Amino acid sequence: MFRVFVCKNISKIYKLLLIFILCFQLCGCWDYRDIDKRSILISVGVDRIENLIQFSGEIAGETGAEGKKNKEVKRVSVYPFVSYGENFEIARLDLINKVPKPEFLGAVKVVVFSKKYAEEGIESYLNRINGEYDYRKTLLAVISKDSPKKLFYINTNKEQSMASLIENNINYQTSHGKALYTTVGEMLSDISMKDIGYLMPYIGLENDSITYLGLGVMKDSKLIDIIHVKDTDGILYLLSKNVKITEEIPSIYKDENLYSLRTTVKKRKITTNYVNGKPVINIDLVIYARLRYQYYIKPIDDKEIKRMEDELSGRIKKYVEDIIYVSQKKYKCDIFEFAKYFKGEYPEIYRKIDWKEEYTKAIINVNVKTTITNLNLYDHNTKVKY
Amino acid sequence: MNESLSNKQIMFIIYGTIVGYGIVELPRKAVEAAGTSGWICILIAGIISTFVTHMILYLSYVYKDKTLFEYSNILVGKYITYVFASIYVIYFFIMFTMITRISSELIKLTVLLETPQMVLCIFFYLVAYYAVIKKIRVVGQLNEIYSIITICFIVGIQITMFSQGKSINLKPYVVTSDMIVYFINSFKMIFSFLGMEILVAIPLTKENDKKIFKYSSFIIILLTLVYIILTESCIALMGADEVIHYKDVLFVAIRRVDIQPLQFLRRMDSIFISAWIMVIICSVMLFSYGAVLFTSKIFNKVNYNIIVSAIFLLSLVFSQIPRTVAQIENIIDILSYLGVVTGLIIPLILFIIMKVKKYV
Repeated sequence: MFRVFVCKNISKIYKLLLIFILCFQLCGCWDYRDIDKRSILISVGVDRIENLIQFSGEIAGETGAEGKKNKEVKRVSVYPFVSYGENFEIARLDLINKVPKPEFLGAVKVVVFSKKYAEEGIESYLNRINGEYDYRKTLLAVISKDSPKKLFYINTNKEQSMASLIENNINYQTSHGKALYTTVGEMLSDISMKDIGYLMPYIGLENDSITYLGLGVMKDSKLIDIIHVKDTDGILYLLSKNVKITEEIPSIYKDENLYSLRTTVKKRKITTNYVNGKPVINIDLVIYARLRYQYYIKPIDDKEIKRMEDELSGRIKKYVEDIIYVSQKKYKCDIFEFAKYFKGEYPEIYRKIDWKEEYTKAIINVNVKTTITNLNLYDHNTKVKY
Repeated sequence: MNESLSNKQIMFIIYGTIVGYGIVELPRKAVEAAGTSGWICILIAGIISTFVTHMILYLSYVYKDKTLFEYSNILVGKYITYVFASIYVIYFFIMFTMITRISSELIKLTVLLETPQMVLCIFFYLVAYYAVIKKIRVVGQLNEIYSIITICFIVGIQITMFSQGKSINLKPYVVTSDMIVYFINSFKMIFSFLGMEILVAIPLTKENDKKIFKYSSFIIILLTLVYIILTESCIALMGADEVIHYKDVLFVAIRRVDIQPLQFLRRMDSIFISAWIMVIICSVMLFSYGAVLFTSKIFNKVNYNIIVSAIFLLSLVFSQIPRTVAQIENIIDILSYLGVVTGLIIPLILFIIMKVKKYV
């Protein structure tokens, strides 16, 4: 009987089974937790307070509106946390004891290292990020002039998180060619090469606002110097993917007039050589510039354009040469990845030499060619013909 | 029921077995062998692999509608055939068991942190069991669909990875003084191309004309290219010095891809892991089919379905024996050598005997 019933209704049974299975499929994992049942960390700060590691950061609060009808709607966006421990594990345990729900690190936007902690070395924390599944490896990492805890606590009750402020700030600066967006993954890659250093954004609070202050120089993953934002142009011409730097050139007439120009790197070519036991690094930069405006409108002829181009070339060359000189003599560290270019062209020699040592003696040739591509569609030489 | 496979399905079977668990570690092995010149080792291994595949296919082409079990019987006699078949059963059985287990371990370590690996093993077995019990036709069809999907996913993701990497990390492309080392180390890379031995369990029919050789060459060239793209994209993204440290380097590299404009796709590892799971299912399905087929040839009086159920049950039990990931890796390493026996030595013996008999 049963067999006959099954044979007759086989398609219906399959459909029922399908619906039954789909019900399970639609409800997701059996041990899933809703987003409101998790403490979603959006920023993490690491600092050293005496002998203790300090973790601080922000946790995304209850999203959406809270409150009753006809009453003021209160929105809680983020709330800060802080925990301490002798090492990362104990500090994390302290954090677990303080947060009400299981924490989730996948939404962390930025990791902020205090200046003090960065000077001691950040490699261990970068390895921790690399090893933890939750963390995005493309996480932005910055060094802060102020303690991370101060940054996160000053932001209490504000709707926008400090993580977003920092990420947006660095993102904006980078997209406009004024900063470098360095991710944890890139830093780990540089660390593995051993012969090179790297740069990290340096931020701080200026008049209660998050401000990009410059770049931190990392040698062996330890902060050795801060390059102020006004001195980073040479670095940006060498490393930024999207350089847009504004330069002002005085007028030939020696008056108060200034030309405001915006420069971009059209072509960047780095080649290497090995001559008389010394590495030679040749840097060729092709710069395109656009005249934005003059302070006071005066005629511009070809000679003046040529003069501006030469002056710009000279200026950019000096920026680049100066910062490379500092890296060779003061930092004794290749922060521009020249080792990769040399290794690529002379792998056999690279294996034999100690690049850290050789870099300090390397001969650097910088060649900059600037072309002013347009005068912003403004005719500075108009003559009235009537 | 027609049990023959089309040329395309056989082509994808070669893809399905060669691309397996090993792709997550492939870039590391290539960099270990030759640094940034690892692509040369892959290329050489790919060329060798094409010849081996042709040899196995040629045997099946000459002896139409026969698997190794039948044509070996003609060439070397009953007893040696049983020895050969037993070797293949052991190889295929351990292979699909260990692939299932190590893949489950990897998924547990990277994505499903709380899920018991045994549950993951069972899910792999369920899909493979369904296909194997329906015999070669369904195995071929399912493998074809999965293979096309995975090729699209893998190539797409790798191109995205390239766009985020640094081209300077790929240099030097070749170090001329190391050419001999590249050739020697290429033989180690051949292990990454093992899998074509499954063809001994796939009979060719009259429908499979000479074009099958073109198809097989095409898929191995494509695979070699995919392998080179995989390796180069990982190097571009992470640098050769870092690639060398990770056993799951492909996952690590993919986690370093961040496509900011695509907010909902910023983490690409979840997409890749779906494609990778399909690749694993293909491998498990095909190797388990090989084990089942030769077992059913040896025990020809036992019902096919019973053999399938028994092998999968046994495999589940065996998959739980290794206690650590290192033990599984050791087993797979040892099994790779058996892969040389099943993929190269046995077919070569049969190939030589066939040629000799032809002229005697």
